[in-house]
Amino acid sequence: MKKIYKFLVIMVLSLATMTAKAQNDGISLTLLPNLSYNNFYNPGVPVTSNAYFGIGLSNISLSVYNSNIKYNNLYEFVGDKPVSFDANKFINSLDEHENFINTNFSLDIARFGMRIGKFYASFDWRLRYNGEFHYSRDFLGFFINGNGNYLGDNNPADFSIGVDVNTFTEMALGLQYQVNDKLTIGVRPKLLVGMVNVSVNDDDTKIYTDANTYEMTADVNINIKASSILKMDDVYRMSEYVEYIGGMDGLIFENIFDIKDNLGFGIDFGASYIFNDNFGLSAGVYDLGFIKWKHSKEKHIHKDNVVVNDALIDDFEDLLNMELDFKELYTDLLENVWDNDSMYEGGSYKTSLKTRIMLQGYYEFFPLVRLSAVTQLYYINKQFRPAFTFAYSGSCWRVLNFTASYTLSKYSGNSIGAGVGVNLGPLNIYAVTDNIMIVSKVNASTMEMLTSYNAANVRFGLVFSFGNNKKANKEKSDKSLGDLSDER
Amino acid sequence: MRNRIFTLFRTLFYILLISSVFSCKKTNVEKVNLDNQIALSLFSDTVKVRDLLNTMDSVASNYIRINEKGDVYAYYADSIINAVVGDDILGQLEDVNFETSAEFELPTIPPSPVPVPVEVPFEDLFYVPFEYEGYGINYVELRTGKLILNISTDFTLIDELSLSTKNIKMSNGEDFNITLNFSESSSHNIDMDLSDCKIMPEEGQIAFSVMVKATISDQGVGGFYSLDLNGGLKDIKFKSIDGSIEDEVYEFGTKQKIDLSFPNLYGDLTVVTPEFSFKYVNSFGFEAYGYIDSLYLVDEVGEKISIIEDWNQVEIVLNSTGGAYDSISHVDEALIDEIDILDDYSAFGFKGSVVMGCEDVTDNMIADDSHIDVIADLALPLSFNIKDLTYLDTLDFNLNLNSQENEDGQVNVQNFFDELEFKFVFENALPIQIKPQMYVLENGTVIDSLFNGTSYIHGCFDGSITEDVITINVVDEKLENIQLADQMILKVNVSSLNNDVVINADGYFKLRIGLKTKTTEINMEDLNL
Repeated sequence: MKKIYKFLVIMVLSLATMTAKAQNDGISLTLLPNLSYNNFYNPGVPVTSNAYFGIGLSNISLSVYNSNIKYNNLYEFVGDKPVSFDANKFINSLDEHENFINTNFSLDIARFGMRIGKFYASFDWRLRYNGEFHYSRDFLGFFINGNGNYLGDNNPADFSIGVDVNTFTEMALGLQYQVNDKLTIGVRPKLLVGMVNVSVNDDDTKIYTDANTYEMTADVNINIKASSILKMDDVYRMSEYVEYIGGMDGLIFENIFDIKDNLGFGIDFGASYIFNDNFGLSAGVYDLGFIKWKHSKEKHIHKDNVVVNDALIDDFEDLLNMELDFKELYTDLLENVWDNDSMYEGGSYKTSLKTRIMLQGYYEFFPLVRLSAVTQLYYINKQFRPAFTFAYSGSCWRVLNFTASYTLSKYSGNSIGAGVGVNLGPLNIYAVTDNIMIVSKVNASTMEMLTSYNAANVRFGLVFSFGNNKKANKEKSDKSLGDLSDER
Repeated sequence: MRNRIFTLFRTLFYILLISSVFSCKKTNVEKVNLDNQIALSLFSDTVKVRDLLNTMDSVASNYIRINEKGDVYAYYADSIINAVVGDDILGQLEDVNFETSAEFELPTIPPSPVPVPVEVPFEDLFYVPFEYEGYGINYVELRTGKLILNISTDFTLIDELSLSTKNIKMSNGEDFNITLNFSESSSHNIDMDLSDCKIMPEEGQIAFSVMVKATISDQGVGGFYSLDLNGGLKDIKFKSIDGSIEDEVYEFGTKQKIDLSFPNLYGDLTVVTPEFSFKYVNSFGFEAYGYIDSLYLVDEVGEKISIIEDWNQVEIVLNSTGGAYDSISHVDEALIDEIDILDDYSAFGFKGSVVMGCEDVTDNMIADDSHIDVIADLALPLSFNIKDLTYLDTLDFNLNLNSQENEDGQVNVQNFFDELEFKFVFENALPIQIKPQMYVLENGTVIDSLFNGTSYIHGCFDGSITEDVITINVVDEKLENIQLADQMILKVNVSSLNNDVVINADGYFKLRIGLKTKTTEINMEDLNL
């Protein structure tokens, strides 16, 4: 059990190291004006620059989302000062099944794009990590509240967890076509190369404690699959897998150049329609795709009514000299439920990307004031979850660009986003977040900072862009109008 | 040098997340409030009577039996093999000695110029006694024996002397007949083996006839002459006898060591109606009778406790059974009503006597291997009436409920648990009511008890297995005392509630102990973070 726990903890912590182009990356990046990332999700949104490139630091994104761990539910307060950790309140604040922690990380290894007539071709090479850990209320409640709160046949502890972690690289070739002055369409097929995947699906584990005898039994159903770009011939246990991936012989930078196994395919596509200088709409689908993991290690446990703990001592002679170590008890208990962490050879399997459907509209009064509304449908945990964003963005002489937004999302909570970009010639430096309120917690403890709000993310980078197609179009348009009036 | 890009970002997030606990800016939280209840099945074991019996040492297991109904009983058997054997009756006979003189008269025969043989028979000339006290003998067959006879005569002209008797049949079936040559000596010593001979005395004597042979030549004969005889019948052992045997008493007795003790039991535990089985074999051809003089147990101080009421003598009849066993059942009527089984008995004794005698013994009634064996079986069924029996034992005890120790090395269970609840679930298939108690001791001093003294476990008297649940809340001082205890006195008081109950081998006792802890607050200091 220690190994399983270790795995789970490492997974949760390691989610931070996983690049992710996940559904929760945030929308603010695309709202910042005059940045070549405005077609990040929808390849049909026109790129304003004529060319751009970036290497390494052009786009670094970190995000953490947690659905139900809220600062106010963790503590008991006197005034606004926490005086004690209120475990009961915390557990009761959790959803029965739908609690999750989602972390993402992405890094653009290289990207460039250029306009060729009505086409805009681009290449993006990105390292992505996304990880999701979901758990039931009873998963924590069982340990914090103890099995004494789950007595009887009708009151089992619903011990469900799930882990879905992906690391992969994405090489996308984007092609955007300006059909006419109003309509632009784009498509971005991408080759996906899987590096690490772990999938833990445990939806049906229930632990029963007899109300009279306190005997514990369990119905267990857990499925684990793991795969990696590294050879796992000598990996037989989950703990070995974790250490193998993250240890001294784990993934290294050169691994991102391995393009032979775990291949997948994805596509982004979309379109935008500019009604006039002020108003436009766009729609797109992002991250529709899959990865086929070639070699895997698996573990499947399906047990009904397995005795987890019958009696610690089963002989009168040992009764009088027993020692109880509760830590060891829980360890043994979980080992009885989930067995050891050994794994066996499995076949290939597929994982899907977390698809996002977007519908966006904007109205620009003038460059300093543009109002946008975005509707997104995230595919999370086998469900489509909506989010609505209302944003303001503006630009001062195309040098200083800023945005502010308000997002309504049941999945990641309501948040206020903000971003700023500075264009110094071809150099664009930017930083955005979808939850600027985090800044108000800078002086708070990290726990308060991370749990005061559901979402915490930041994206920053620097990229070089050249030319401005919008300006050129406007000059061309003005000249045309001027020519026409001259002709008159 | 490898670029550990993942390590870089992993480190970044480790710092972020781990610092949520260890950040420079900490939340000033000193305690954790929770509603924690841990329920554990601590102990489960079933003690079956049959398993207990199997674990008994070889000595005790000799005494504990299970009958066909599964009832357990203590069994003691004392056997006296060959209490009486044929040899006792036929084998131990004394030698018979005799010395007699017989006179015989020869007719006058003048000398003869020519030698003239003369033979003169004398019927029943002399008698040798053959009788034994207690025996009326028609005939006997000898297993061993010999006739020693010294004969001398004053008849100088005797050539031969033939001795014969129809009272002795040799092994070949012929009458005893021996011829002695006196031509060179006037006396003879006879040592005649009489094994397998049959002797048929008449009126307690063996009559010998004599044939005198002489040769008359220059000397005539006539007148009275004498034979002097002395000797005896030696080394006589009868093989069989036809006649009568007067009553002879043969005593028997034995004392066998037993181990009937129940350590740590005090109070009143009496066994009712012990079953006494007296078996015997009488392969003699006639009935005998006897007495059981005593049947007793010897306690730890050597005092004898009679199982027969008032130490009465019990008369028994031992029929002829051939080689089979027969039993005498009426002895039970003479036994005491109950035995106090707690007296630590060390021996089981059995004494009696057999009277052998028969007025009409025939030769097939007593043989070499005829014997009388007596076996006394004492079965003490664990059918008892327990009025107030207590089991007391002092045991080492060490219950560590939490392996964490503070800096002083002491366990502070109270820092983690507000309350401990022990749930004892008893399943009792034994016909005894049990009242448990545990005292905990520290350095030999009782510091607390576990049960409240009024809890008890119902007995299974009507075949319905009982289940009792006793819940004990251990809080505050009691909790601390249990942690401090290094010894425990286990006291179990049992009673059959005035019922005569029998312990069956299929009986059992099952105990489950569950522990439920309750914690509502933990100080952060105690978590040693």
